[in-house]
Amino acid sequence: MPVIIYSHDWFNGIDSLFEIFTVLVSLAIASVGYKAYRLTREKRHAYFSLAFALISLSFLSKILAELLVRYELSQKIIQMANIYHIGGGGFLAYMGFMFAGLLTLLILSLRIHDPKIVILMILFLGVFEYFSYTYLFGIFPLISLFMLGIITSSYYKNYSEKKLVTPLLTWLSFFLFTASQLFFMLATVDSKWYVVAHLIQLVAFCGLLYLLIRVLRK
Amino acid sequence: MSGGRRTQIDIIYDMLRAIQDKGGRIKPTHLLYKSNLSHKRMTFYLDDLKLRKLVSEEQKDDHSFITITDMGNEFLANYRRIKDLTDAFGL
Repeated sequence: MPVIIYSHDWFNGIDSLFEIFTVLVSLAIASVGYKAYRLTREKRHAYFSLAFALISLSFLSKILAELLVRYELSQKIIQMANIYHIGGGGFLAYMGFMFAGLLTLLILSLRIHDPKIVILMILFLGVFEYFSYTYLFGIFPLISLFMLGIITSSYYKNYSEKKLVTPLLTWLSFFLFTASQLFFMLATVDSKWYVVAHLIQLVAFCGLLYLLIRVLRK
Repeated sequence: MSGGRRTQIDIIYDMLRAIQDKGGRIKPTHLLYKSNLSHKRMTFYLDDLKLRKLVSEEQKDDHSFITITDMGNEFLANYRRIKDLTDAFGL
């Protein structure tokens, strides 16, 4: 969980700029997915669009929560111990939207059709979010890492079957997105990893943007 | 033609591409052969394409021709982008 207290002072604000970029890229992908749905009327395109819209909402919630926390800190209104309560709603929304977005991508990637399995997964994620928020923020990147790992492996399988540039870009981007979660976990030990995690996440979304440009330029 | 079981959108793409590959104009009998459909199904999809204004039918020298419209060409371009996106994410 990339939380403000793990960051270097000089990096405060830069991380939000990086995340604004991820919001815009995710929104652009969601928009293309929606256009695909309007043309084909196929549910898979609607779910794909929804997944990226949720990821976009997730990053937006985090940016707003961090802005609030930074403002409160600058006014010296709160103590560090209360930091989660100030931006709590935003962080909760961040985790909830991210879990929902990744779950949608996971269902699409693994082609899960059984509603019982989907309900079970939602229930488990609800429990994980509760524990992430209440007890240990470190649980969130661990679960994200696990979910992204499965999604990335299915994208690798897709690339190995098709051997095309665009599936390769998707796989590499998600591989980096997954790796960034590992560094977000390490950020609890040393704040330099927080910067590294953000840089890797930025490169991952640059890859997705390049992929989108390639698709749209055709 | 698209591999595997074709969706409705794949069939429309295959029909439009067959017309485009023939320079934008094709005889219905050639389209029937190229689209790999029964006569009944091809007529059904052809009516749908005309309704969507993706193709038009014209008569020349006692022969009937199916012509792809600008909207049809635009549809093909959009479909290719979607196909690329679908391939990229294995949807």
